[in-house]
Amino acid sequence: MGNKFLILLFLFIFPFCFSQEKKDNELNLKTSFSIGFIYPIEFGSTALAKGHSSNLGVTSSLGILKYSNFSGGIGLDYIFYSVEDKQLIGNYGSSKHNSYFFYFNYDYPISKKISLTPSIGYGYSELVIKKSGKRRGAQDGKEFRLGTSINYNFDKHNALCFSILYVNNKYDVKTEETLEDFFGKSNSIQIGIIYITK
Amino acid sequence: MKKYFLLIIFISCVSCTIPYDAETRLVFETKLVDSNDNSLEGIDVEITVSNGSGFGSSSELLSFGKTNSNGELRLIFPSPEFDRGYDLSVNSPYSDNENYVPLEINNIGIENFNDYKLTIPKIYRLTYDESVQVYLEFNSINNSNKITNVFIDGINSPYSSSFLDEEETFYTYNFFAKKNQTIQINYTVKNISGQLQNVSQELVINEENISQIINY
Repeated sequence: MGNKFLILLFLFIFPFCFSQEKKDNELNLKTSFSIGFIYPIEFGSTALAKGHSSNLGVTSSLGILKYSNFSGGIGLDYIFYSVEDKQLIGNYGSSKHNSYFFYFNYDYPISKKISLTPSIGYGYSELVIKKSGKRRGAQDGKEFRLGTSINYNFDKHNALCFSILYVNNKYDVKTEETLEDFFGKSNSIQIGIIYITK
Repeated sequence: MKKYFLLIIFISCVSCTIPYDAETRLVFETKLVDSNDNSLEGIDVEITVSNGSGFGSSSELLSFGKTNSNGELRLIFPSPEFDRGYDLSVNSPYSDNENYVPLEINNIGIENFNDYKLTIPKIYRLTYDESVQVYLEFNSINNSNKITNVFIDGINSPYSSSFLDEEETFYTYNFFAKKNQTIQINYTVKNISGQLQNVSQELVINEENISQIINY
C-alpha cells in the first residue's frame, strides 16, 4: 500500500517540479533526479547478515524541495540477497529488500567542484521472499537511514556521488522469542555510486 | 463463456504456488538417536508442506538440514498460510535410509507449534533387522467421539498417520518398533461435549509385525 502511494507521488510531482521558478533563498520546489548502484554490508546477528549474501542493488531518488542548502525528496532502493544458509532461513532462493523513503539533505560545498552532503531519511520497507522468481510473501517494515555523500560536480547540472549510509530496518515478525530480533531487524552500511542531474 | 471461466479457474488452481506468511517464522527442533540412544550425526531431515495428494494439490520442500555431532537438528523456515489447508510433514529422505526404516511424521499443523516452535525431544532411527512394523487402527464405536494426541511411549520410529474418513473417526497410525519390548499407546478421546479422556494401554512387541484395532 505504502509503495503504491509513493510511486503515485513520484508520478504526480515529477512533471510539476520542472514548471517551478527556482529561487535559492526561499522554500521552493526544485527538482533533482538521481540513479545509481548500492551495495549493503550487513552486520549484527540478523537474518540478512548471517543467512544471506548481499548483491548489488539500485537506488533512485527525486529531489522536490529546496531551501538554501537544504533539500528534500523521496527515494527508493531495491536490493537482492541470496539465501546462503537454508537451515537457518528456509528453502527459498532469495530475499528482496524494497524501501520507499523521504529524505532531507544538507549540501556543504568544499570547493567549486566538490561538495559534502549529509543525509537523513525514513520510510516504508518490505523484505520479500522470492522462490523460483515468484513473490511468495513479505515482511512489512520501517527504514531509517543516516549518512553522507561526496559529490563531484561536473557542471551546474550533473554530478557523480559516492555515498555511505547507515541503514536500519525493523520488520514485523512473529516467531520464537529468541529469534525476534534476528528476523525483525537489519543493520547495514550501504555504499553507493550515484549519478545526479539537477 | 462459463466453460472458459471454469477452465481459467481450473488452470490457476493446478499451477498455484504455496503462499508463505513471511512474517511468521517457525522453528522445528529434534534429536535423532539409534535404538541404543546413541546420537546420529549427519542424518538429513526434510520438512515438506502440502495440501493433500490429489489432483490440483501442491507440495514443496520447505526446509532441510543435517543433524550435528550431538544428533541435534534445528530448522527455521517461513510459515505457509495454514488457513488455506496446508500441513507439514517431517521425513528423512530415502537416500539416507538404506539401513534404516523410513521416517515420516505427517499432519503437522500450526496448532502443533507452541510459541512458533515444535520440539520433538527424541526421534529413534531403527534398522529393519531390529524392528517390526506396527499398524494401529483407531475405530470410533461412538461417532461423536474424536481421537487426538496419539503418542507412543517406547523405542519406535513413526512412519505415517491419517484419518481415513471425512468425519475423522477412523484413524490409522503406522510405525516401526524395536523388537522384544513393551510399548505404551497413549491417546486422548474428546467427546461431543468437549470433555477429554486420556487413555493408555500396553502393547507387547515380539518378533512379528502387528496389526491391531483399537476401539474408542
